[in-house]
Amino acid sequence: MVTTTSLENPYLRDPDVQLMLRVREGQEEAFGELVGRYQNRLVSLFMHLVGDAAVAEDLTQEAFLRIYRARNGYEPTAKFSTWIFRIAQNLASNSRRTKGRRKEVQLKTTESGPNSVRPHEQLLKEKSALMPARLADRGELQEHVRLAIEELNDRQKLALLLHRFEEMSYDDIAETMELSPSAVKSLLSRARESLRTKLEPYMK
Amino acid sequence: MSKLVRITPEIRSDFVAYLDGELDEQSAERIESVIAQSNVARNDVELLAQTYELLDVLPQYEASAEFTEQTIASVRLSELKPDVREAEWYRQLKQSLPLLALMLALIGIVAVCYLVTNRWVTTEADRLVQDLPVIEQLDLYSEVETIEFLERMVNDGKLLEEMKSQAEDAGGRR
Repeated sequence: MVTTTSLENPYLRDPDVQLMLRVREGQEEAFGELVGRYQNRLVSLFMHLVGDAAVAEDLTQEAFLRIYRARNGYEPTAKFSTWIFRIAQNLASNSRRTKGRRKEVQLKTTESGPNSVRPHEQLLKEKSALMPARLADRGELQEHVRLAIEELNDRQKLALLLHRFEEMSYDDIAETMELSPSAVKSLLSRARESLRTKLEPYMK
Repeated sequence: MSKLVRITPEIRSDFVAYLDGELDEQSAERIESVIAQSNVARNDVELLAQTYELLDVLPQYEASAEFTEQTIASVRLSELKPDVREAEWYRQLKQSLPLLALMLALIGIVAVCYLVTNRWVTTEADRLVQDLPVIEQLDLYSEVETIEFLERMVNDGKLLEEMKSQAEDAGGRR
């Protein structure tokens, strides 16, 4: 237990904050544990935001590097997840700006190398013998959902992903995205209304 | 039988927060009351919930098998070649940059003001320095009495000669 920081600090109850404090003290294995806890969550988030497996891994690695480089000055002033997803947000928006400048052609996930990011879906397909027709239906639906999300603006998309997949509260999303909770409420309302309009025809 | 309840944009914007359990008790009760009275509201809320569930079909991705190792390795590498941006002196310099910029701006303003006043605003001392050659010869010039006489002397060679000979004569008599 770290004694240098006040025990009144509510963030000290966050186990990830405790790990980060151990990283600050030079314990490399604590950093490895943080990487293990967050790598898939970040890769998944970046995949949904930038749509490219190689870029998603690069950005995830950069996020961890930033965390590591900042360890000496680290103070637990927020939940660890809030901090790392804020870094992720900045990296994703920088990446989109650079991508916009370069006008790169977006590669599909399947075009990446053999060691690249693999969706759970693909892993599941390989392991189980699901009916091809069902898979096709699901694949089609997946594409509609992906396109519906694609059409959201960047902030709506991030708020939606953090809420759905990270199960973040409005307050945590607000802290991550440096917005007010009412702004998050409005973002999510508009995002979900947009999804409803686009996906309603595919509801069975 | 469903009553006719007007679903205002404000109520509609609360549907999602209601589903997410993010409304305070009073607002949640208001939405529940609207849902209870309006089939349209109930249908909207159900569709919002169902379409949100569809997000579960999206794949969740996993990092490649080597990712953790590669990340730890790149961290070690960054330790060997530390990023200058993380150095203490760089951080302090970065923190004091606004102050330095302010100081430089002040120095610049002072320098510009000095140059402007020195170049274009003439002081009493400047005027004295400028007039010094005249002041030094003031006794001599006071004998000339008028500018017109000086001009005549410059333009009229004879007058100058006449004055010279008069001066010589006066000197010879003495």
